[in-house]
Amino acid sequence: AAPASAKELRIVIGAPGESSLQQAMRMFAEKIEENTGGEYTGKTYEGTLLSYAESTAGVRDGIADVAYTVPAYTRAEFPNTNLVVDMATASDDPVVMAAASTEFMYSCEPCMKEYRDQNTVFLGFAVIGPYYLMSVDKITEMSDFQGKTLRGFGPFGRWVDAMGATSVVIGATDIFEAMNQGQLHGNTHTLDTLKSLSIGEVADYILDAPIGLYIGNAMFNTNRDLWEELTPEQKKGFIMAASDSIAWATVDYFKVNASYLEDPASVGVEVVQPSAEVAQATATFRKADLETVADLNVQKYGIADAEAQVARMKELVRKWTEIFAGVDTTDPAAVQAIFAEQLFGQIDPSAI
Amino acid sequence: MASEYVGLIGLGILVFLLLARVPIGLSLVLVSFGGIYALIGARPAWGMLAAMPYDFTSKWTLSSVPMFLLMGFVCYHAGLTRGLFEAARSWLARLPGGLAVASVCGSAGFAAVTGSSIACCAAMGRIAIPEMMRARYDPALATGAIAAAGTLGALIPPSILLILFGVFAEAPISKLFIGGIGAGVTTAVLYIAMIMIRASLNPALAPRLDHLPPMEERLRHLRETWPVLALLVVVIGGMFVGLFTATEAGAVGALAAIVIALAKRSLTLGGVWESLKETLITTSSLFLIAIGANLLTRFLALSGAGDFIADAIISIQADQLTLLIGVSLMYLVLGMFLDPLGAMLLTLPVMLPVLDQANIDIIWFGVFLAKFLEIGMITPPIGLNVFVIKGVVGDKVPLTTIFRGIGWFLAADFVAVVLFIAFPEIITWLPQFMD
Amino acid sequence: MQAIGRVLNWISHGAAFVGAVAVVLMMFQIVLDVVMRNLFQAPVPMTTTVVAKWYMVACAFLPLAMSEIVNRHIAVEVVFSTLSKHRKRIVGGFACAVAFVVAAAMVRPFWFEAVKKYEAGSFIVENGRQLPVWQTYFFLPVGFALFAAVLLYRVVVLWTGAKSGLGETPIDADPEADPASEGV
Ligand code: NA
Ligand code: NA
Repeated sequence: AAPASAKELRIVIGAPGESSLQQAMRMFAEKIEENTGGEYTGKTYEGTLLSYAESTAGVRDGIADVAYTVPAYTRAEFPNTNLVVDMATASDDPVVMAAASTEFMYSCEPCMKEYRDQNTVFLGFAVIGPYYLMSVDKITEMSDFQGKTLRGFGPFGRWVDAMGATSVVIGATDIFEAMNQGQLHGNTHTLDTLKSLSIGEVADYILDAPIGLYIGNAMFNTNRDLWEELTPEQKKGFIMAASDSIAWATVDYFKVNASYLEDPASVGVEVVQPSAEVAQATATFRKADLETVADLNVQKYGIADAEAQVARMKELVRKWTEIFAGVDTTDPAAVQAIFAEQLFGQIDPSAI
Repeated sequence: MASEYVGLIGLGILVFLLLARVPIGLSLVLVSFGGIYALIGARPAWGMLAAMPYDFTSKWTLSSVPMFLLMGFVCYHAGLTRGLFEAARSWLARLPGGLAVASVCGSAGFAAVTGSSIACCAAMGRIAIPEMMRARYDPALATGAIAAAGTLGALIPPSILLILFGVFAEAPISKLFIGGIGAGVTTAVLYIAMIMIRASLNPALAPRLDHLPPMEERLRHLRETWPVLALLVVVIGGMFVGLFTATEAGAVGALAAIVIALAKRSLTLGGVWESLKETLITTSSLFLIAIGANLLTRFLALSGAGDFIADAIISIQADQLTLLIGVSLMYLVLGMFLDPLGAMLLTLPVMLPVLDQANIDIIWFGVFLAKFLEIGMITPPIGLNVFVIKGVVGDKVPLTTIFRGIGWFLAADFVAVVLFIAFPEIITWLPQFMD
Repeated sequence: MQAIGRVLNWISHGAAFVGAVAVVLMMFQIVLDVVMRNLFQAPVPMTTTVVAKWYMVACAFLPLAMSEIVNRHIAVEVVFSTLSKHRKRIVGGFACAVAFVVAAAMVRPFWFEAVKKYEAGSFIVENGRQLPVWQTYFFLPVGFALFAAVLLYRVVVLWTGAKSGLGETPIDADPEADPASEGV
């Protein structure tokens, strides 16, 4: 039983649902109770307290004690963090990328300062993906892309442009109608949207060419005033709760997505293979995009050493690819153990 | 103090402020802020106030509200709609409540292209109400008909509410859309029947022409309908062909109305400014209320309303019918105060497992929920559709008159809900063919 | 007193005029985007973002004061309409006073939020293009400050009986004068 002094925290995610992300928020609430001997408990607010766009300011002001935040909404306040988010094509293994990007963040002083400046504490990135193209018409050849309007933001938009189609950015809940009405010919997204956004009802094809990963899910961004009142052991408890939950969310999200690739008929689509030319162009794009990202960040966002940071990320991806070689990354427990030992377990709670 | 009581006290203060004639939007903001302050402290309360109004307002999809309002005001100031309603009046001279019936049909047609009930009200309000008033219709009937028929916008596909339900509940959106047709058409038919019965019993509500005008005059009226028909062809046709989305249709409609009015030489610069001014007044007062209603959802979420509802629902360990009656009452009460999205977010996490357990079809429930959330758009004290209508009629018709007009439509909605529960096939019959 | 009212009226309509410009630009840009996209497959860049962050914010918040001057913020009249003319001024003044406190209290957090966004230089990125948006956060404190000023002025006019220079719709105007009139 929880002690009388138990403090119930408000743990917020911007939308309701039953995806791995919402489940991970609930898991985090349970884990902090476990890890702090019941001193802290959590209640999740799913879509009712803050929207995704409001969540960063919401944690800052203590509306939420812990919230899933998306640094991409506030690029001006998080320029260095967003450079990490930009490196979507550095790997196509979400587990490797979650570890690499999280380690990157903790060793990137300007990134950590961005979270401190917002009165928050960064507790790791979950990674989802890869993103694939889901389209109304069959798209396998370079010529198929001509004249198509496809949804894609950031690196996914750049891929759409690189393939010769037109990229547009529209809100997630508008995709169904836009594809239904024929204004949009396809969407680059994680495959769970075939069901969750009903894309499977309006799209017929998945192009089996992974484009990149979405890194920027700062799942357990914590209010710094709360953090300061924790004992070092409790801080450790929060960090390890984040470790287990992020490992689980990344593995589970990937598993759900992979199931659609294995059984596309269940959501009314067919997986098609890219032509050699498209496969080649995608590979070229993925390689070149990291250079594009470095250039963009130097020119537009004033990060002088962006190139060195990209190089550092590549190095971390290599490191974690080796660590996970021979590990079953579809097994949450195995990934949780490695995250606990080699990633989050290495963090000094007093230093973040 | 238990947080549920803070929630109840907050609602009590809200009712007092409203009755004291404090503007609805600011009353909602004050009570929500005070409640959040009392529950979790000063900094979070100020923080919520600082960030939420901007994030709420700066949405692409909401742009259809000012755009459809502008289209309606331009139509009114340029007299574009007069011809259509003269024609409706002379051709439907024998039909009791002919103009109101025509307005409901117009809203249903418009609902087939727009996804939002507010946009539907905004577009139809300025077009139809002044014409009904000119024909000496009862103001309560004229305004109530448009506010209520606006709810068809979210029942007949496309529907933003059904899309959001589909996303949150991971239910197939196209089936929800098809299910919405049955619910929307049933609602429209009930509205029309109610109007015709009332107008037959009390002809003073909707004065009829005492004679059918000669064919020659009726044909002349028919020819004068071209401005609105042209507008509808552009807006509705463009959406069906896929040239633009429902969100963009408002802007296309507004510009098309201006172009048609200029071609007719019936729009002055003064008329343009008046249209813009009316658009701004309605938009700003409406958004202030919507922001307040949205803040209220968060206050109620913090006060534990979600858990309270969960406990209440779970305690109804009864048969399906009792459960549905309980759920209906719950949504009726929530709909009085909350905006539809807020009520949906607050209850879905509770409802989804309950539905599963009680073997209630998810498609049927999504449409049923949309119906109740739309009823909330027209129930006092916070009824956003009614406020749109209030915005477009200005101070000429009091809010109480509009709500009085709504009463009869709520009675029709009651019949609709009973039918949906008694004959779920109304909603589920069409979607079953999609497998 | 009247001079203050006239100045307030003038500034409020000025702010609303900026909102009107936003509405017009919103209409033209959306239509232009539709035309360019359909004819040339070249949509106008960042249309959805400009509409959401610039035009919507301007047209929702800048006209608040003007809406108050024409007495069009929606309120419940069910009890109020039964009051005598004298009591309408007292209760109406109270309602405006409460509204003033709320609107004025909102100016501060909006202002600090806007300054934070200004200092960070907030912008939106869309497919490699950047749109500055920090400016639009200032529409809120400006809109609400004007709104509050008009409300305060109305409290003074209602409670002192001073002649108003706002040219506003009086709070004790009879709304049911002629519901079927042309003006509806
Ligand atoms: Na609709
Ligand atoms: Na209501």
